[in-house]
Amino acid sequence: MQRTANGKILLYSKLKLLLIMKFTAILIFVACLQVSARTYSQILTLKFHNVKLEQAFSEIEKQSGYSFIYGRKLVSTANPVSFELKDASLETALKTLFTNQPLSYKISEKYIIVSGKNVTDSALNVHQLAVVNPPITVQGFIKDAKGNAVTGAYVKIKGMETGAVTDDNGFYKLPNVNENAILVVSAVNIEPVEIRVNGKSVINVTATIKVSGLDEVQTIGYGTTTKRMNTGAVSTVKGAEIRDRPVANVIQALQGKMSGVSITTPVSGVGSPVQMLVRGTNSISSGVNPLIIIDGVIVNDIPGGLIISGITNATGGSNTYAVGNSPLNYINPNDIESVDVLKDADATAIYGSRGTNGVLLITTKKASLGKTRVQFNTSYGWKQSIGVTKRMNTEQYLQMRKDAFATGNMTATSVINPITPTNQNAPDLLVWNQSAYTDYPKYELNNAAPTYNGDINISGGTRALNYIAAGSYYKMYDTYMFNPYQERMTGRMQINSSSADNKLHLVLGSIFGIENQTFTTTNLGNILGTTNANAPNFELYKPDGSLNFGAGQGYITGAYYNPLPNKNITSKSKTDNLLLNGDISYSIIKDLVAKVQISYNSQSNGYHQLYPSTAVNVQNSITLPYGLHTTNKFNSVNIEPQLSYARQISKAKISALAGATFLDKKIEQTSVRVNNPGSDDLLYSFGSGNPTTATSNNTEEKFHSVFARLSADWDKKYIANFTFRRDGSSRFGPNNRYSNFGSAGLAWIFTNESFFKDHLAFLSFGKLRASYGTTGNNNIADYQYLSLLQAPTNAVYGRYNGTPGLNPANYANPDVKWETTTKQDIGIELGFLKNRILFNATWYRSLSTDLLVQLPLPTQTGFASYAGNFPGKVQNTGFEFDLTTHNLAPNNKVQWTTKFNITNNKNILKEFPGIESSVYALTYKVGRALPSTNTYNASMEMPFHFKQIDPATGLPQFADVNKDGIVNYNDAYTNASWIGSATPSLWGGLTNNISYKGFSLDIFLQFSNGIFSKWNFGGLSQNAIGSIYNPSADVAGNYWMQPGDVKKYPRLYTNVPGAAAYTNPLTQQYPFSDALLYKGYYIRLKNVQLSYSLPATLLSKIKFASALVYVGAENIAVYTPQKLYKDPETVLSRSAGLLRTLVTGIRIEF
Amino acid sequence: MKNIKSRFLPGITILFLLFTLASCNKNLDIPLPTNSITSVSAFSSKGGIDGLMTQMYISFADNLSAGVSMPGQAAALADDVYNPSSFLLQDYQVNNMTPLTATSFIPWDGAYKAIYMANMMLEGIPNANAVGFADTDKKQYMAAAKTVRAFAYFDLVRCYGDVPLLTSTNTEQNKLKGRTSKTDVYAQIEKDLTEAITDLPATLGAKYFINNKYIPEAILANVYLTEGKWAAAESAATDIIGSNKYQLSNVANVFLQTSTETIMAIAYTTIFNSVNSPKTSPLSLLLWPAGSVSYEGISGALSPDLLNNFEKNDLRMTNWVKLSNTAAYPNDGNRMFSYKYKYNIAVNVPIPAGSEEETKFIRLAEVYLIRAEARARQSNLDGASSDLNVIRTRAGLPNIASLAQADMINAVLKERRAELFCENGSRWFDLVRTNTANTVLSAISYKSANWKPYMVLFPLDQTTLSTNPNLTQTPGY
Repeated sequence: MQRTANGKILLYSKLKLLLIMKFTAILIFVACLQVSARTYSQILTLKFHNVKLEQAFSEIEKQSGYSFIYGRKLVSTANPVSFELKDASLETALKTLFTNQPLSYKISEKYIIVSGKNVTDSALNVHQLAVVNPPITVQGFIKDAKGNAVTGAYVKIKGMETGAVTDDNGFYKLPNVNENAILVVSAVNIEPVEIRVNGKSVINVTATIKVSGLDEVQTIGYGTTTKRMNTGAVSTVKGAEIRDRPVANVIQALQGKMSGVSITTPVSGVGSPVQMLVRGTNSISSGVNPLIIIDGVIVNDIPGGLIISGITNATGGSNTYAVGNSPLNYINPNDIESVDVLKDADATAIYGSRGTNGVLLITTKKASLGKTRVQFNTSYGWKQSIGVTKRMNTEQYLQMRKDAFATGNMTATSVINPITPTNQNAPDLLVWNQSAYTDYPKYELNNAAPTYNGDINISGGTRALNYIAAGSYYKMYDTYMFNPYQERMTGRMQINSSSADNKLHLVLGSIFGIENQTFTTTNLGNILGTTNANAPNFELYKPDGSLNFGAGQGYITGAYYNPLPNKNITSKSKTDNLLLNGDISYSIIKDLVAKVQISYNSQSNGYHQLYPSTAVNVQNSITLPYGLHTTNKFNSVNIEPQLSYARQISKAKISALAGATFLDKKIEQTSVRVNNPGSDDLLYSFGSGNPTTATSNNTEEKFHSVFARLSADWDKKYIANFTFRRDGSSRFGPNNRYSNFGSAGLAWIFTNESFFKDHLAFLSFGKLRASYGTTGNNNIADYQYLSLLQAPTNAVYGRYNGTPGLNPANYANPDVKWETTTKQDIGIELGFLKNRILFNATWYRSLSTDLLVQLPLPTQTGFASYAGNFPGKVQNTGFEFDLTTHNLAPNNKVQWTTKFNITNNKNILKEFPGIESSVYALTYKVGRALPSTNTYNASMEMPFHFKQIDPATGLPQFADVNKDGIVNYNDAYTNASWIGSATPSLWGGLTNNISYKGFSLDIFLQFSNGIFSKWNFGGLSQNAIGSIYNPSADVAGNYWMQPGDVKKYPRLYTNVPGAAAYTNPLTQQYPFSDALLYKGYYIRLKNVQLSYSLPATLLSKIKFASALVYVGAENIAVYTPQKLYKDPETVLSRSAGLLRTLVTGIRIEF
Repeated sequence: MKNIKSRFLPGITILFLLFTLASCNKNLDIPLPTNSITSVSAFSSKGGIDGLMTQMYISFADNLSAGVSMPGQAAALADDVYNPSSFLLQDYQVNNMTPLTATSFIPWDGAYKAIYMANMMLEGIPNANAVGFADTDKKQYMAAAKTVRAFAYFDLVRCYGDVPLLTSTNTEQNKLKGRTSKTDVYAQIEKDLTEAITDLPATLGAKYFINNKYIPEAILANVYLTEGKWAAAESAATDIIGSNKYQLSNVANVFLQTSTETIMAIAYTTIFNSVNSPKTSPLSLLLWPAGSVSYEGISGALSPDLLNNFEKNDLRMTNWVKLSNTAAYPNDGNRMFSYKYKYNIAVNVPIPAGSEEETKFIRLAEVYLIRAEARARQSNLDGASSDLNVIRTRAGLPNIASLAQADMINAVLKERRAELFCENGSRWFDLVRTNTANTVLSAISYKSANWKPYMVLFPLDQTTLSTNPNLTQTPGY
């Protein structure tokens, strides 16, 4: 049996390896976990006959899993042992073992520390042990102030090369130490410590954890580094910072936390999609989403690719989010250890063609080693709709309507021409109850919305074999009427194993998530059928108890809509997501490691929309029941072999990496629509439709590449990093499939130069870095290089006389090729006062060419657009600043940390030869930002320019921007009417954390500038004020009535047609003008969280390792200079801001 | 050292192999999406060619004046329908045509989509080698494509005047093409239709497809009438009438599937969730919203002007016009709606056997009226009155007395209005081609505020203009 007294605890790992090697299949592997759990039981059966004490130690180690720590000299004096025990506890065994020995023992963690008998347990007085001759063996634990083990710390004798590394419990053992030597303890995350041995053989060290995150691990493409040594621009948010935030999608918790990363939620509501932009819009329209990688596995990179395809390719999801679901909806944010966003070329070029929009790397929590730990977290929350547009009450509303009829129509000759209200055009004045009042905004938008969350994870094991298993459940209701919700269940397991010689490493991981969502017709930002602008005296029920649909005829969308039949609509989506990951690496020779990562991702989404006869509403155009059933399946297999080499030669450390990617993705879609099956119970029965129609599609994408990286650093001062990648994608035609990408990054840690050490000691860290490189983007639809004819993609349309047609799906562009972005980045990182202050400033520029876009085509060609490469060059330049300060001394009882980041991004069209004769002649301009790709925002950038309300006529007046003497449509939607980009130009966040004893308080502010918001009266089809809907309380009494009035709002309009000169300014120009447009900033109190950790004394009594209670609030308040529309971020929303969430929870560990 | 090298060798070999594997173009080949085929394979099978033809008919039915939306819109633009508190047709009935609202004034995009499909057929079919696709089929399919292309250009030229004339699918060449003179467009229309007439048989087939020579011939008669080529119009009409393939139906049966005067009808392009599809007309919703409360207020009721146009005891008034059967408009007075098509997809009243309807695209009555006008314009007043009286007799009206030429022309136009109201934009195109639009429309109270003489042609919308710098806006806008 292996001896343990050689400084490493090998017995245990050997045993595990033997076990592992017997099993190859994964399932058996899991079984092995259970076997090993039994192995640790402390029931021992021992039979010794005159054996040496060390031999007895070995046997007990083998059976118990505990290890003995002892000086060999000390034990050599012990007596041989003889005894027999059956099913005895460890305590009994040890007691028996040490009877009649000149030794005593102490159990600490998984160790049994053996010492001389006359030494008290607590002190381990070394003088007693120091009687033996030097050199001695020194051992002990390195722990931090809180008692947590410092793993991987290097303990060495000063002036010598020999040393030992602490294990997972912080234990080290260093033989052959001179009595008077000095030990130097260092680790990436602690301040270095020097200790004189003075003959002691047990030296425990309490280390000070470094305050800065400079040496924390940063995940980069195919590897890790630290912030200190990184040559690229990477923003990192640790799991602790996002933990317990009441968000469903981790991206929501990242908003404002990372410089250079802009995150917006354009639609408020549960399960709503989140948009993420890294360093501005590099691409015009295709794929601005970053590449998402979870534990090294590239996940379906089209957020919502499933459901969005459901709309365009397989009919369905009309009630789901237009931009689909995020793949991160299936990940429990509490499972995440860290999120790293790669931004510059140096960091992203290793991902080549997919790196342009940045890379989002998510690392899940790893097993904690040693004793099995269980963490449990549960929370309960409430959601509230805030920022809801306040509408008029019945009195104000009816007054407005009467005024509208009194002010009347305007013909070419008259200013006041009253209109007679009729039952048809004014049921609110003539038919309905004049005193009824329903607060429709509240009715529609502000319902009780609880949130539940619970998650648990169990982890443990040794370095040789460890595991983590986690599960969670989450359910979040929306504040919208009819209680739509989002529900998620996740499970995750990861097993890590290493061979005894540390040459073979194996990682097996699985993540699964199930997401259920239910929708109502309008909780998704679907503005049609909205209820909150209903006339306030419209009643949902008639006096006889039946549903009221108003006069019925002439129903105006949103004006008096009765949503109650919609309660019977079922609209639900279920998405299963499975991610399997296997990772085997083997050290072929010293410094050379071969690795293969194989991953499999499967997502399947089923969407069902049932429109039973009970949902038939005379106000809707759908008059017959139907059931719509859409299935989307996505799966991908990715194989990535890699070779890596790392070597320290003198002061140079060189590491190299080479690998390849083979990715194959498949999508299968089917959609079936059962029309009018005769009974509502048959809406799921495909055979029952009258008729049943169906469509389907399968597509595939392949992606192959090779990549390499070479990094070198000299004396931790000069660092260079080079990457190369060659990518091939089936999305492009045979001539353009392959492209090369590469980058170079350099860094100089100048504070490691003696000049700075000697003269500028206050500067504890200083690094200059620069990078240059190219990345690409292949985010276009598949098959765009081929001219394809498509069978009907919709279960209803695309037939003539019942026969399906073959539609030219696209205008083929055989020359479509990669979009290429050249990125430059220069940064300086500074640390002051032992890195209590860390500052980072970065300037970047990216120049994109051949941008992949849907190039517009004049419709006379038969197509409106085609996938192609934009002939212009687009530039993004910006500054990023990050500041982290530890405001109080590290040993102060109160700790206060501040983190601030701000980013300024400028996007311009840099060059575009021949723009005058191109299709962009009227809408793009060199030197100016690109118009937003978002159609909602696009109309904000080129609206009519509002001048004033004409006091004589009450009509809004607009600027003649093209100076042709008349205000007409040529004054809008062209270059001349540009007012500025709607994409934020400045954004950032400020986090403060204050902790004292067990209390911790986080306050997080987030801000954005340069955004537009448009108040659209509720997003209705007719925007003119005065017709039969409730625009806003702000309108009451604030509109033009008679010549001479100077008012904020124009004259009222009843929807009774009149002269174009009167109608058009009110209905076609005013709503599309900047009169209702606000450009500005907002500051949001995004999150406040207070937590309290129970003190250790109490914890030990209740046998918990830790326990914490917390209360928090998300989206608490927003400040914006304009008053009408209270949350500029949710421009597309249903007249409400991001939902406020209050949450309270508890997290315990034992 | 040697040892180290040999140990590196496997690694380097593996890398080299990977590099080769990952760089092979062939490995990136993927199968086509299962719901798509290439145009090459489409033209290699009869089924594929039929699929393309179907798509061409879809564009034709959805986007042209023969289709679903245009008849109602054109009727509102002219003076056939009016709804005092209408929402859906408001811009049309007050002729509020601006570049901003231009997208709703079809048929620009749709017509060019149909033209693209037709061009695709005309380019692909000559080289198509498909089993079961005989030379005679080739000829007929080509003729159908030419007819669709000609009709699309006919709509375009009537709506916009000069329009880009594109006769290939070459997008690179087509995308920046400006307007072609109207004369050249008409020349192309005549050429296409004449060729189609030559290549199509005289035997009738299913009435939803262009499969006999009378369909292009009827369109051509209309084209000649619009161009003022009276003799040619008359001759084309005579060929159709003289063939005796079609007979006028009873007034009550004209719009039924069993009607004997149908030269061509339009089929559904969608599968509605309606028990009545396809037994009713897809276009009836805007014009006859019977029983659909959500459409009643927003549909176009017949204008008083049109109602006054009917003579006493006109069977068409009793059969094709109906008072709304709900008490929906107590304050607005009773409304009369077009009742040519009696059933509605939105209302699921079961249709009695024998009452199934379909949308008529060309019917014999129009051909008679074309010939009547062409004869009148050529001073063949007897010929004109004889044709006119065929229609009048069917409508239960007395024969007209002999009239002077101008009066005869007016009588034909009046008869056209009574016969063809709410069909295929007939009234609007009549006003435009006879240069009477300005006089008539500027005299109507609810139109006068907006009406300008240049509005006989439609504006192009802003997007269309901004994507092709060589396109000019229609004069006046």
